[in-house]
Amino acid sequence: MVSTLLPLGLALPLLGAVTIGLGGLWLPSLREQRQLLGGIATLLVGITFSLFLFTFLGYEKPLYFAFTWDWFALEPLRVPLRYQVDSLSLWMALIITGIGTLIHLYSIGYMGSDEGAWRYFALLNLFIFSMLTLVLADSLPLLFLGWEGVGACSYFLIGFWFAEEGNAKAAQKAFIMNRIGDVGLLAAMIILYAETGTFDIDRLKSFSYAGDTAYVVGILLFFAATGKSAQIPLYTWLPDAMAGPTPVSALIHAATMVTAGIYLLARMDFLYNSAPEALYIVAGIGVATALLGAAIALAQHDIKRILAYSTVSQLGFMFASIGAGAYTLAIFHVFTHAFFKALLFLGAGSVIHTVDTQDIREMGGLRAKMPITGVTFWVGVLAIAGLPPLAGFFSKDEILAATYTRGQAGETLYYIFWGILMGVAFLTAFYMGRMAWLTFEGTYRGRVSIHESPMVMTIPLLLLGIGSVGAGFVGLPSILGGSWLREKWLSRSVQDMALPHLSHETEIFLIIASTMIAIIGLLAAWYLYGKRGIEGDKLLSARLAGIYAWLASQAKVDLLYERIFVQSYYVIADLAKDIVGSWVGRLLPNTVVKGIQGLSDLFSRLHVGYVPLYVAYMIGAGLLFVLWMVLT
Amino acid sequence: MSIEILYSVLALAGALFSMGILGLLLRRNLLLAFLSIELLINAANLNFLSFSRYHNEPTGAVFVLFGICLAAVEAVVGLGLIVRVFRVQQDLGFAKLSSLRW
Amino acid sequence: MLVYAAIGLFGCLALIGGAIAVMLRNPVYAVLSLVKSMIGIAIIYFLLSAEYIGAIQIIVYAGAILVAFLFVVMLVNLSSEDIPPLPRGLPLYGGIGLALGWMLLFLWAGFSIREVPSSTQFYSEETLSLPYLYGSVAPLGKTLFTAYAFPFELLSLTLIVGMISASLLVKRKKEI
Repeated sequence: MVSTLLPLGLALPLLGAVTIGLGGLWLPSLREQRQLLGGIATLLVGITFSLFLFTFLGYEKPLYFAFTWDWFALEPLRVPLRYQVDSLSLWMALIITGIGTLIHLYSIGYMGSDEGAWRYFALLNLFIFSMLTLVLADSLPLLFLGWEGVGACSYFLIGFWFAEEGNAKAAQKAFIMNRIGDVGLLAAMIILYAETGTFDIDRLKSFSYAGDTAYVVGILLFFAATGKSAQIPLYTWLPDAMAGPTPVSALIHAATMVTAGIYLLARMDFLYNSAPEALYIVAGIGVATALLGAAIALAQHDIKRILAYSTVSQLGFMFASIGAGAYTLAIFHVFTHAFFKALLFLGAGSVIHTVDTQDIREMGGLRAKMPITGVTFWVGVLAIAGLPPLAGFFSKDEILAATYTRGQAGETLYYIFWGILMGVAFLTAFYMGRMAWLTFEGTYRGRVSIHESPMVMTIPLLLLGIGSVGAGFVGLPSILGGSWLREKWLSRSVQDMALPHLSHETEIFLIIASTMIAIIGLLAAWYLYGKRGIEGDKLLSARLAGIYAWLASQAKVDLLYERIFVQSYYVIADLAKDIVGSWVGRLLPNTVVKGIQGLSDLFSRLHVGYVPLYVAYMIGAGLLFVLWMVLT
Repeated sequence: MSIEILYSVLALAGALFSMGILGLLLRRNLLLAFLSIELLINAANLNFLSFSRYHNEPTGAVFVLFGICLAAVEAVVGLGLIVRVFRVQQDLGFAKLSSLRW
Repeated sequence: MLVYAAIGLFGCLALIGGAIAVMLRNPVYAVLSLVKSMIGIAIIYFLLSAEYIGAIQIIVYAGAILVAFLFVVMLVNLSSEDIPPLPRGLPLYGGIGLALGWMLLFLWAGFSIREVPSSTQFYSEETLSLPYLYGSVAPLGKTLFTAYAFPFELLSLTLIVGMISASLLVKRKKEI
C-alpha cells in the first residue's frame, strides 16, 4: 500500500522547495511569515519521513517506482526516472528525512529572525529532495543528478549570507572542490558504461568485472567520494563550509551530504569486492584523514571548525571501515554519527545563537545557564568519544575490530591502521572533551548575557540526544547477540567482504581497549581543560611547540594548495594570456574581421535599393540553381 | 491524352513564365511588376494541370486549386501593401522606392 | 486535331494577352489584357477537360483578383503618364536574356519527358471506384478532402490571415 505513495516521498520536498521558493520570490509579503514557511517545510519533510518509516515497517523486498517519462533518451542510452527502495537506500532515506525533520524544526527557531528564511527553507527542502534522489536513484546518471543537486544546495547554503565576501568564497571553494571530485564520478560512469553498456545499478551488479576495470573505477569513485565526503586531498572545503547557518552544517555537512561518498561506495560494493586492492587505498586515505582531522581539531578555537574537523575525522573512520571491506559497518557509523554529530552541531548552534560568537575562548560555564543544551551536548560528546553504551561506542568499536580482524587475517598493514585509529579514538575523546569543558564548564569568559534557547530548538536537541544514546543498539557486537542492522537488514542489499570471525577473547579485549582509550582521552582532557580551563591550551602548545602551531594553522594545507595549484594555475593563465592573447586572440579575430569586412563591402555594392535589380538577382540565382540541380 | 498535347501546354507555360519574368524585370512600376507575378503563378498552375491531366491523377489539379488560392492571398496582401506604400510615397515608381536599402 | 488547333489558338490568345500586359503603358489596358490572358488559360483548362479548375480560374482570377488590381489602379489614380516606358540598353537585354534562359530551361525540361506512358494512372483505389471523369468535381473533392485535408485547412487559415492583414494594412491610422 505504502509503495504506491512512495513517489510522494520525492515529490513533497520538491513541492515544498518550489512553492516556498517561488512564493517567497513573487510574494514579498509571504517572506515575513517565517514561522509558517518553516512549519510547512518541516511538515513536508516530516510526512516524507513517516512515509519512509511505514515503508520500512512493512518492508519485504526491494521496491521500485518510476515516473512514466524518461529523464533523457539518446538511443541506445536511455535514462529513466526510476528509483529503487532497497534496504540500503531506505535506511539512508530514513536517516536523511529523520534527521532532516529535526533540523528543519530546529531551524524554525534558529532562522526565525533572519530576513532570508524563505530562501533558507526552500533550499533546505530542495536539499532533502536532491539527497533522496541521490540515495534512491536506480541508475548512475540519476544518482549523479542528486549528487550535483546536493552539491548545488550545499553551495547555496554555505553562501547563504553571501553579503560577506568570506562566506561567498567558502561557498565557491566547496563548489570547486566538489567539482574536482565529480570528475572522478563522471569518469567512473563513462568507463562502466563502456564496459557494460548500462547505467542501471542492478544490472551493473550482474556483470563480472576484470580486476583492472574494477580497480580503476573503484579508485575513481573513491576520488569522487573524497570530494563529497571531505577526505584527503579534497577535504579543505568542509571546515570553510562552516560559514553557512549552523543547522545547515548539521544537516548537510555532518549528517547527510558528506556521507554520500560512503553511500556511493557501499552501493558499488560489488566493484570493491572484485578489486580488493582498491580498498587498501580507501583504507589508507581514510585512516590518514581521520588522524589529520582529529589532530587539527585539537588546536582550533572556533567551535564549528572543531566540529567540522571532527566530521572529517569521523568520515575518515567510515572510509577506514569501507577499506576493511565492512561496507555495512560504514553505513552503521553513518547512522550513529548522524545522530551525535547533528546533536553537537545543533548544540553548538544553540550556543552560538545566544553567545553570538563561535570562539570557545569567549564561552565557558554555559551549562548552568542553558541546562538542556549543556546536557545534550555532553551526551553528544560522550557518544562521539565512544563511551559505552552510547551510539558512537558501538560503531567505532566495530570499525576498530574490523581493521583488527583484517590484520589478524594476515594483512599486517591493517594492524598499523588499527593502531592509528586507536590513536585517533584517543584524540577524538580528547578534543571533544576539550571543547565541552571549555564551552560548558568553568567560568563564563564572554560579556553577552546568555539564556536557554526556545523549545523549538531544544526539542530536536532532546530527541537527538535520545538517538545518540540509543542508536547504537541496532548494531550490537557479535558477543552481545550480533548486529541487527548489519546482518539482518543491510546485508539484503550490500555484500560485505567475508572476514574471519574474531574469537570472543579478542573481541572482549578490543571492547575494553576502545573503552579504555575513550576514558583516557576524556581524562586527559579533564586534566588539561577541566582543571585549568583555557590555560590548558597554553600548556599544550608549550609542550607540542611547532606541531601545535602547525595544527592551529589547519596544517597549512590551504597554503600548500594555494602555492601548488592556484599559483601554478596563475602562471599557466599568464602564459596562456601571452600566447593566446597576442597571437590567437588578436591575429585570428582580426583576420576574420577583416575578411568579413571585405566581403560585406563587396556585397553591399550589390545592394543599390533598386527593386528590379533585386528581382533580377533572384531570378538569375534561381536559374543557376535549377541548372545546377538538373546538371548534377 | 497524348504526349504532344503535354509538350505544347508545357511550351505555352514556359512562354508565359518567361513573359512574366520579363514584365517583372522591365516594368518600373510597383503595381505593374506585381501584375507580372500573376503571370508567373499561372504558368506554374498550367504546368501542374498539364501533368495532372497527362497522368489522369487529380492531385495536380488539387495543387492548382491551392495555387489559385495562394495567388488570391498574395494579391490581397500585396495590393494592401501597395496602397500603403502609395499613401506614404505618393508614387509607385521604383526610382523613388529605393529606401529598401536600409 | 481539333484539340491541337484549339490549344494553339487559345495559347496564342493567352500569350498575346500576357505580352500586351507586360508592355502596355496604360495600366488599365494592361490589367484588362491580363484578364484576356487568364480567360485564354481557363479555356486551355477546359480543353484539358479540367472544367472545374477552368471555372475557378475565370471566377477567381478574372473575376476577383484582376478586378482587385483594377480597383487599386483606380484608387492610386494611375495613368499612362505615371508609367515609365520600357527601359533600353543593358536592362532590356539582360531581362530578355534571363527570360529566354528560363524559357529554354522549361522547354528542355519539358521535352526531356519521354518515358512515362500516358496510360499510367496514379490515382487511388477509391477514385477508381467512382465513375471516373477526370475533370469532374468528385475525384478532385475526394483527393482534396482526404489526402490533402490538412493543407486545405492550413490554406483556409492563410486566407484568413491574408484577409486580416490586408484590412489592417489599408486601414488609416486615425481609425484604429
